[in-house]
Amino acid sequence: MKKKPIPSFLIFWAVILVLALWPLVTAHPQWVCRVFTMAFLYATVAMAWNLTALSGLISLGHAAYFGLGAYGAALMDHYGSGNPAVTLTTAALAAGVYGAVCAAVFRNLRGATFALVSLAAVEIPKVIADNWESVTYGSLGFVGIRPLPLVHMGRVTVDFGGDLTAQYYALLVVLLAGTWVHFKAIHSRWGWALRSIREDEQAAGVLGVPVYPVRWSVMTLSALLTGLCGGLYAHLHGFVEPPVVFSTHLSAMPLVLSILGGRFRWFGPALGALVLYPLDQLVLHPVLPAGHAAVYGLVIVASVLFFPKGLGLRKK
Amino acid sequence: MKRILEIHHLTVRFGPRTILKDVSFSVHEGEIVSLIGPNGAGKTTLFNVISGLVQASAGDVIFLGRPITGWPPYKVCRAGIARTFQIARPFPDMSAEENVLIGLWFGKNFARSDGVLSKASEAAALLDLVGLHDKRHTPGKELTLSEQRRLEVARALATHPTLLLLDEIAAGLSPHAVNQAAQLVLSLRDRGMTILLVDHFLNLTARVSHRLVALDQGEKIVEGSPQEVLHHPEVLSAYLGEREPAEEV
Repeated sequence: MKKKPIPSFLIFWAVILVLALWPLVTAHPQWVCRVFTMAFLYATVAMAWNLTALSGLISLGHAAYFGLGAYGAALMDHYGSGNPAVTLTTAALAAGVYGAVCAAVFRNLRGATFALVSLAAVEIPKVIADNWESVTYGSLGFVGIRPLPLVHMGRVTVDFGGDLTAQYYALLVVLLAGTWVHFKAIHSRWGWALRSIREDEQAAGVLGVPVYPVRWSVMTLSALLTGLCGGLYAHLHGFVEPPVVFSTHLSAMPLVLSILGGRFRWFGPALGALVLYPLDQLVLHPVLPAGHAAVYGLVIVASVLFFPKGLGLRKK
Repeated sequence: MKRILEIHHLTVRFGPRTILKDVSFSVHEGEIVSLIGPNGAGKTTLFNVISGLVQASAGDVIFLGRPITGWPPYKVCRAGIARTFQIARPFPDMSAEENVLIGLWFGKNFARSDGVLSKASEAAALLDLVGLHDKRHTPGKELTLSEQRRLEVARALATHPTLLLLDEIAAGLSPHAVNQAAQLVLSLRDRGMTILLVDHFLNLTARVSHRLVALDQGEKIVEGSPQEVLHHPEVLSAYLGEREPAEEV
């Protein structure tokens, strides 16, 4: 008898459900919570990155937006208000404005040229953060960024700064919100516009799809969300420094996670992140403290060769 | 008769090369006008300028009395001009039906919300018209050349155009498929569509057109009825003594 395969999106919801319930019903070591919190963050970055990719452009420079978000939050925290509503808005705007400018300046670039230029675009904010010492403290970076605050909900007080389980749930909500945006970028009229642009932008244009406005706005949104994640990162870690938040690894990771999970499925990048990041941190890191990051390289090779459409989908 | 499209002194230069030089003509309501000329005459470039893919260096394109020169392609489409491409470019991974739906959702009668994501019956009618009903679930890249050309026509019609630009719909087709294409053009004319046609295939153009506009090396050499134009000495020499053709863009 032939069995029907279980649809992958059910697996995705099952994973989310297990992740949502697990800390409630069993012992939950804080360091495991921490790893998953970061997995949720990087899953959101992966989906933000994929918004640009859905319009047909592969960016190798999303670290620029992540770093600008992290620095935006850190600078606002240091010189202005430490209220996360303010710092995170600053983070999103800093990255969003840079993303909007890049989207306008690179409007005629495609394919490898765009990828190379996006890679180069990371260097501008990175060099500024690294060298404008009177403002950014140069390569020392910022330490002591205030953690996320205490939140009073009725009689209950939740400490998002100190309680790792609370952070875990906060980031799970961020992940779900990001998944909703990413879902809309595939399954909606907007999603069809992006798809037509990706498949043939000249044909899309003459059929009435506003190619440049759609692409500009999706790239700006992609940068904005990545910046928001950068801002969250700054508050979660408490310190930022240029080589970390502008690292090439941050540019490459969303690509790896998205390809692993499937770039054209609404849950693809998130699934990739929820599988690979914990695997890397919880299983490989203890075994191979120095070489564990090589798994990202291996995963990209393996998925392109064996399941280019994403985990669980066979190569046609 | 109402003027649908007017081309006024249109010039296009790419660097040092002049692709179109001071071309003027107009298309009236319900007419089929064909642009003819050897390779490199500038026919496809003229289509690209009208549809907004190429910028004019000088001159104007007037559509329904409104200048549309320099508009982006989607605005030109929503104003009511649809086109096909000489080298068919269906969305490769979308089915024939989805290809048509893109035109329905984003063309002239576009809607702003997700509520429009159905129009399957309209899409089916258009695929019927071009004889692709059986292929509606086939991805664009798996259709034959002739099917891709017909899909382009269905997709263009889906945008509800007032003026249809058909670029070489008969090139590379078998004699049987050329006949089908001619039938399709005639049936569109009978539905009152105004059509501007580019074709190398004089047999087809002479059969369906009211008027011909002959271009050679970017300049208009003559305009008139098929009989007049096809027997014009300059047209004959342009075709028979095909000079070293400039690259078609």
